[in-house]
Amino acid sequence: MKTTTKLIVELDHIRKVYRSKQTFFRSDQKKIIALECLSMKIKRGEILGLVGESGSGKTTIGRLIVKLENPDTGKIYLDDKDISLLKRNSLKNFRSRLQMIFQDPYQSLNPQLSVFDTVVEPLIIHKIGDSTSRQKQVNQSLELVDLKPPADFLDSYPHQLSGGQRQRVAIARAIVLKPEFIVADEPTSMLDATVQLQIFDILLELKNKLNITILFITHSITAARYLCDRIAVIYRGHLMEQGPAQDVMTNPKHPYTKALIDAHPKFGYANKKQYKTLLKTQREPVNGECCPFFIRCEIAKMGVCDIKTPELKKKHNHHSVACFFS
Amino acid sequence: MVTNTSDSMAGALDMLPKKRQKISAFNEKWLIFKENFIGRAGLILLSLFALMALLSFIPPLIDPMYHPMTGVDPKISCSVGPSIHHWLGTDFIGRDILSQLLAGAKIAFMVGISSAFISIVLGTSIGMIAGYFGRYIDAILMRLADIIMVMPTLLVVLIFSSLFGQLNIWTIVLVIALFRWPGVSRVIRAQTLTLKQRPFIEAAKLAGASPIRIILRHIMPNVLPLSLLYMTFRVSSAIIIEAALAFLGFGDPSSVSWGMMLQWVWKTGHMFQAPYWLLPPGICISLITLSFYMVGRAMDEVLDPRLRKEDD
Amino acid sequence: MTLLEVKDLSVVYQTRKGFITALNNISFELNRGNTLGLVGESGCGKSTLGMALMRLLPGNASIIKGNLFFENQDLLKLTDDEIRQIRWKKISMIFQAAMNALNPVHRVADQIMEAITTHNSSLLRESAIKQTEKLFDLVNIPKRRMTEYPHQYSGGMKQRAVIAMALACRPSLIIADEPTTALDVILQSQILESIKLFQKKLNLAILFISHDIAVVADICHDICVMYAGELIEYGAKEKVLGAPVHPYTKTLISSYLTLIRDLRPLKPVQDSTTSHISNPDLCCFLNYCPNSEKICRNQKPVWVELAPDHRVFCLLANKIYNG
Repeated sequence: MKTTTKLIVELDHIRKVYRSKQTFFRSDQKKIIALECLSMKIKRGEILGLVGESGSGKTTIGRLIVKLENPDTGKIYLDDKDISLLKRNSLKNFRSRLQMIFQDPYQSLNPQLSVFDTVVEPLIIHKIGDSTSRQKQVNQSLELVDLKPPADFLDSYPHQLSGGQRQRVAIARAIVLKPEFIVADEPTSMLDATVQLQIFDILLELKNKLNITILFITHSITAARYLCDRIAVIYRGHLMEQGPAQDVMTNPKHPYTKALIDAHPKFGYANKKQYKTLLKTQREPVNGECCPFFIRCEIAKMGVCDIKTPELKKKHNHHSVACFFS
Repeated sequence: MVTNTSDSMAGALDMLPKKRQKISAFNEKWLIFKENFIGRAGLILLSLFALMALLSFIPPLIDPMYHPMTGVDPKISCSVGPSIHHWLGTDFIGRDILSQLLAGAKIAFMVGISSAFISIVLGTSIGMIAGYFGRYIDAILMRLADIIMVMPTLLVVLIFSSLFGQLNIWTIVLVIALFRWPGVSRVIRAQTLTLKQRPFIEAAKLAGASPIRIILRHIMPNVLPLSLLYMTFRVSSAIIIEAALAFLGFGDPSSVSWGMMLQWVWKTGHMFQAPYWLLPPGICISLITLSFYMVGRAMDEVLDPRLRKEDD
Repeated sequence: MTLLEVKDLSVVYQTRKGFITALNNISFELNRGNTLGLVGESGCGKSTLGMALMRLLPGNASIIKGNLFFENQDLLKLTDDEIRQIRWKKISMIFQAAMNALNPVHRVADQIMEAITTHNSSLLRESAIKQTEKLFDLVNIPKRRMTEYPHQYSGGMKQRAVIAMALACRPSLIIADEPTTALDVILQSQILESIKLFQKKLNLAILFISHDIAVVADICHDICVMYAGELIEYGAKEKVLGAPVHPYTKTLISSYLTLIRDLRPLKPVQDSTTSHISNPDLCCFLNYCPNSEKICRNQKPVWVELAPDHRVFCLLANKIYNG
């Protein structure tokens, strides 16, 4: 399989702010900045891992790309076309090209629909094929996600399936339209370790067999290392580090990435080197512009990190970092 | 194999053999319902009333004397107590009370179920639309609901009937229905709002489903059980409203309902003279509303696992 | 010195579809100052075990067999009043959902103080405040945040506050049921660090329940591996994780992704689509076991002691152990 360097999705200076609801008694709106001027490129045929803590804005990126939400400022391009301009028919066409897999398999399937009804629905909506060809396509999808033989599952309802099986059904629904791009939003965080690996293998197969590009959103750097070609680390709406998976893991540049790797349970390998980039006690936050990681960063220097936000700079070999001291 | 109670069902199902026995959601709920004492008692009572409604077609076939409205026993000219010919006695002009009571059951079912059905259809669709689309559609529909909700139903119907003269039974049904939907639509709207947040709705959106498809295919099946539950409560209240109207003299004079019977007792001054005439319709009204309520309570427990007793 | 001894504990749930065995013949010991890790996948009965130790099982669950000795006292023989004396004062619990364990309308410090005073009513207010301050210190929450309400706390802080509450009465045993599952890695490692720290300080025994074998490896001295309601391997951490014998333990470890090992882990053998149990007398892992032999299908599994601190519930344990 050749990896082309052609882009499929490009995010250009995306900013997204959530505002708390204005009520009659409280006019002060609380602003939560989910994404701050974030630019990112996703290449066709790769699995890009987006790693970050909860609240870092990683899920927001996924939702923006599939157009479940719209950015406040900035543009998102799919194959060089601005997706904010899509209307009606072109939007429907767009929908068939991008799909999403959600985090919680217990919530992402309609409890009242059988497996067949769930998976066939996109085909009905897009008026693809007749009933026999649809049946065939549903079977193919279920086989691709390892629900074999499909006949055993077609008439089941979600409550009769285990968590792993539900997630497979959700993946089958996402691929039945043969999309080019899938956003997988923490698809395994609710599943057991052994089941998790099976889901990862399915995602790898989708990439290799169907040449689907995947944005894999996760909080686990090990999962990203296992699955992804490239990794992007995001912190409080800012992209901190981006590069080939192996590079980022073995040679992390950003103190936050290092802290993430440090924090990962050692599993008995006690002599592993520690980067120790995390402050024991946090600094007082700075008003105005500063590095987003400043308050927790061990290596931050006053007069540098607290007055300017570092920009993402290319270091070498497609590996780029947003830190003054890398 | 089981961690906690909430997992126990899923765990139990996990262990089923590969060829899963197909339990439809409905069957499973029916099994729970059957075990509920209140539900069973309510259903038995209801079927008794249904039997009464069916039997109401028989007396006029036996003898025109037993026609609930026009069948006057020529031998009797005033209200008399139970006898062999008239098991529950007759009213002031010699009409058979039992056949009136049976006819009243028919009317009660007709009024209760049809007006409840109309108000549920209205309330559910308005609730789903308001909840799903939100913004100004929500605001307009919900303010409308608020306005109707605070209007006293009985009073408005009274004004209606004094404006248009005697109302026929279907107009009454319609008016009750039009005034009883807001409560339902509030509940359905709230349910829709929580469903809207669920990822399976977003997944449908991503599949390209139109709002109408999402409402019909994804939201409606999930709120329908709740609508059904509310329907049982609405039936009770519709029967009571109709009885009250008839008792006050605003009912349909061409139909024999229990409220109408009570009105005749009252108007002819038999309130305390003829308990055999007063009590049957009174008891029937209470029991039929009670039985619908009991069925509703049992359904509530089926739908909301938190209300279910721990299976012990 | 043995603080807690569980002997042949069996718990069943009564459901509409009949009895479900949640725990089957569980036995283990926990010494003062030690941490015992209980690992297993969701639904293996590990939370039920924690609840059974606190005697907080839901109404449809019943303990059908076994003993729970805590400080040489059988917990199962105590009356409800007596167990209430022990609960929280001697055995306390840290739950997974920290956000729900705190009452949103009271200040955090007040809630912790209440936990102290309800079990020790003779205590003066001043000394209660002092103790609360100490607890905040122990779990690493700045003192200036004592008077704040739970909603002003971040997730990690709430979890710390819940831990402080569990420590309030100086218990000798803490049951921690997935205390870090809902947290991010960085917070998780910080909280694990502080658990290790105060455990040493207070000489606590901790029963640490988790699905994450790496977390358990990080914090525990001994490890119990559970599968389908049964204990299948039990022993010192170094033995169980360093040289696992039971095929399920091997599967569990190999399916764990690390930063160091080869990229490609062992392919997990488990297929979640086939059923768990055919015969309750046979080995519970039989259907997925890559090593199963004829004997496994005909005979009950037995406990094999490979070392004083390493036991395996498998007929083939010696064979696998010796190569």
